Amino acid sequence: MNAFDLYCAFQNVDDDVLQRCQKVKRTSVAMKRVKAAVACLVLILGIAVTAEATTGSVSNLFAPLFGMAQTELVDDIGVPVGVSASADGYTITAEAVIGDRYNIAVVYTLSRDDGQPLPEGLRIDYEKKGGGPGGGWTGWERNEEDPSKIYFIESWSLGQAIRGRFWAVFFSNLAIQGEGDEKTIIAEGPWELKFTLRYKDTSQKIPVNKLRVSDELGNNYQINQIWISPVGIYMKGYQFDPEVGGEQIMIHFNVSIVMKDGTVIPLEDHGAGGHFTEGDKKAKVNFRAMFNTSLALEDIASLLICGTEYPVDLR
Amino acid sequence: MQDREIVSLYWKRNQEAIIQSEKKYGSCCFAIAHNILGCIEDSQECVSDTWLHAWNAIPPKKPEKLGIFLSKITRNLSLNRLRDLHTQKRGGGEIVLVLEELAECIASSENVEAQLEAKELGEFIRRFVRKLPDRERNIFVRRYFYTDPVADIAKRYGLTENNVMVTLSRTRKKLRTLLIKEGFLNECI
Repeated sequence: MNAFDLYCAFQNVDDDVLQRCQKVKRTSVAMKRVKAAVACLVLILGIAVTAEATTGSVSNLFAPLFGMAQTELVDDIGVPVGVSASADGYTITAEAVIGDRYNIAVVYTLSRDDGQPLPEGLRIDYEKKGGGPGGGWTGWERNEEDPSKIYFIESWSLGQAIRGRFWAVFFSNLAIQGEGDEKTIIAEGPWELKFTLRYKDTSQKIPVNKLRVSDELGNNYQINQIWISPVGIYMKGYQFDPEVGGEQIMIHFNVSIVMKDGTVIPLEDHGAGGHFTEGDKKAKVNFRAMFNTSLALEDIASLLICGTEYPVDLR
Repeated sequence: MQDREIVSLYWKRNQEAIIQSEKKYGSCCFAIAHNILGCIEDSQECVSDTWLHAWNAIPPKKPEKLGIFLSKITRNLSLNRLRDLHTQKRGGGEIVLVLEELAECIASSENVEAQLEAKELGEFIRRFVRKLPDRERNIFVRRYFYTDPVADIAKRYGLTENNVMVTLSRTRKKLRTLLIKEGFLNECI
């Protein structure tokens, strides 16, 4: 064995281990103003966390996402849901929700009614009903302390205001994923959960007067509205001269947050899209993103929109 | 675009899959290759080959974590290129320092067997890394899988470079102790 052999052996490191070390620490941004900042929303999947088994507070329910830091702030913004559905020996509970005007995240718990540990490699069919068009993602996080429970997280950014809306999700076919397309269904369900989205909306509107920007390929945009909160951002406006059968609209539109300490945070996980009819000179478009770390709004200096810097003034 | 959407494009044999893979993971894969090879042209070739290998592997594979799947392909291709080029000691990027560090783990020892099964060593490393505490594991993997420079690791995790180097050193010592304990190495007296 030589050093090169040892180095090559690292090729066998597990995927979830590699995934976990992708996180970038931004506590210099989030920890400065503890009172005003919201706790971090961890959007990286596959992280095993521990949670205090204490009932009652929202921060405990959000422990899979936030850990047990900044509990006062999480309790202030997030809201418990507590809606459950049981079938085939499994129960899914909508535990808590957090969000802003256009973005939300909901934490669910999947548990075995007999308290036995859940197997690895789970997958489930999931469908969101209502809420309107938008984009999002879902993922699993294990509960290190209680192997009979696993957290399922959904995050959505929609094209219209979300808070107060009726939310329905439909789960079915809980299965163990095999090789390729193979799966073994362990419980068919279904599990249907319905509840109203109630949480503290801390969104603020950034004054913008028909801001014109261009992306790297020369596509031109006009931004008419920007909403920002400690957990997400939403913009809407127009893309000029869209082409039927041409490149997808908003494909080269990018946004970064510039903090007052000089840190630049690109919003790589985002949704964007719009619509137009053939012959239209402009398409109605929107851009939406949940942040993967909390941001104290007073620490934000500007937005970098397709390379154009736009100062943020939230007085 | 979400990973599952890109994987779906591979399954539909839609070449948009490669465009989206490159858009989302091209820079990450290039960084891995360049950290190993230290040469832009060789690194770009490895990244291009990554898309071809991914196209041939999916289907039947259906990776849940596409970024990790592609990273492993790039790393493997880069290692093969490194073997072919015999550039371990000739300015091949960060890899030179990384190999010198790992050499500490096997210094002043003799192999129990002249040729260790790569599979056994791989499994040992997999188990060793998994058992490390979170922070130590992340730093160790960023250094010895991703071959990140120490400064980059420090910046990523909000640490000083000295913190990172001390953590790496302690973990390498643990690794060496376990290599000896599990019989991969004999400590020379």
